[in-house]
Amino acid sequence: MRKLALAAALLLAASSAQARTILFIGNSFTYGANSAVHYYKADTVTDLNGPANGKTVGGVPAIFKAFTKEAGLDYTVSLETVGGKGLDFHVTEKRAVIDKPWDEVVMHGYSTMDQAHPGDPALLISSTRQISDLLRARNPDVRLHLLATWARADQVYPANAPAVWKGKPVQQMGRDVMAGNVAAAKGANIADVIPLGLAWNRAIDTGVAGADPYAGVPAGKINLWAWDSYHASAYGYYLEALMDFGRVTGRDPQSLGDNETVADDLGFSRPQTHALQQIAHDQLAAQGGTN
Amino acid sequence: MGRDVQAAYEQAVKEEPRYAGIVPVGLAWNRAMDTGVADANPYDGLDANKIDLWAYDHYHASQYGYYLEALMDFGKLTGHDPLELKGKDRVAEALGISPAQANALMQVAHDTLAGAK
Repeated sequence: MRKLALAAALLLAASSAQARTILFIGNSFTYGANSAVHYYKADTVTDLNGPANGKTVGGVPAIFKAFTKEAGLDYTVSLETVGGKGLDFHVTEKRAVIDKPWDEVVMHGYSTMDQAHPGDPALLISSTRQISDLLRARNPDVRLHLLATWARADQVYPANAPAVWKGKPVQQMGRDVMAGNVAAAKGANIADVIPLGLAWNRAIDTGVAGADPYAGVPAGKINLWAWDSYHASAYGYYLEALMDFGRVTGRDPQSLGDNETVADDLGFSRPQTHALQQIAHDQLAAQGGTN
Repeated sequence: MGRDVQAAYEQAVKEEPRYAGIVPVGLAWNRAMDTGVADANPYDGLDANKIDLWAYDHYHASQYGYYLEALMDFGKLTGHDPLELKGKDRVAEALGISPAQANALMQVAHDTLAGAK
C-alpha cells in the first residue's frame, strides 16, 4: 500500500514536472470583458494580478486550459491582464509579475496598436522588442507568440469614430493590425504571429459572422462582437482561444470536435461550434506554421 | 402562446388555492417584445439594438431570457422591486449583459409585476 502511494506520488511529480508553463499578457481582449468568458473557470488558471472586486479572471486563458485538458495536454496557465493597456505598460509596470522563466508566452498590444496614435505600429514594435528581451533573459528558449487582434466595429461604423478606419471595410483594421504585428515580430525575432484578426475577417467573409453589428445580426449568423461592438462576444473569445490553442500546441482546432465542452457551457449550437473551429483551422492552414 | 400559458396557470391556481401565486414570466417576455426591448422573431435575424430572449434553438431561453426569469422570481418571491438591483447586480456583467440591457430587463420585470398585481 505504501509502495503504491509512493508510486502514485512519483507519477504525480513526474506529470507536473512535464507540464509546460504558459503566460498570457494582455488586456480586456484576453480577460474576456463584456462576455460570459470573463469569469469562466477562473479557478483553473492563475491570475497574477490577483482578485479585483473579490474575483479573479478566467478569460481566454481558461478556455485555452480547458482545450488542452480535453486534448490530453498538460499546461500550467497564468495570465497578467490590465484593461486598456498595451505591451509598453506591462513591460514597465508589471515587470515584477511577468519576469519569470516561462515556456510559452502569448501576448498582444492595445487594440489600435497605440491608444494615442491609432494605426501607428511604432509603439507596438518598440514595446514588443522590450518585452521579448525581458522574457528571453529569463528563458532563452521561451516560445513567444504575438496575437494580432481583431477589427473593432466601433472604429468603423459610428459617426464619431476616429478617422483612421472610419467608413472603411471592417476587415481593413484587422489587416492593418496584422501587418503591425508582423513588423513587431520581425523586429523582435519572434517566429509566430497568431492571425486572430484575419480569422475574424474570414468568419465575416464566409458568412459565418455578421459584418456590421450596428445593423443587427442577420439570420443564421453570429455576432463576434460584444454589446459595445468593440470587445468580443463569447463567440469571438472562443475563436481567440481556438487560434491560441492551434498555434501553441500545434493541434488542429477541429480535433476538439463540435461537441466541445466550453462551447456547450457558453450556449453555442453544434453548427456554430463547428463553423468557428473550421474558421480557425482554415486560417491556420492558410498561414502555414508561422508568418 | 405566453398569454395562453398564463391563463392555464391562472386556472390551475384557482383550482388549487394552496399555491401562493403565479410568476408571470411569459407575460414579461411579451412585454419585452411589445416595448421593443426584445426581438419578436429570431428566425429573421436580430434587429439592431434589440436582444434575443431565445437560445439558438428558438425554444429555450438565452442568458437574457433566463436573467429575466430570475428577475421575475426575485420580485415575486422576495417582494422586492427588481429595479432595486439597478447598479448593484453583478450577474448581468458576468453573463455579458450590458448595463443598459440589464436595466431594460429590470424595467420589464417591474412593469409586469406591477401590472399583474
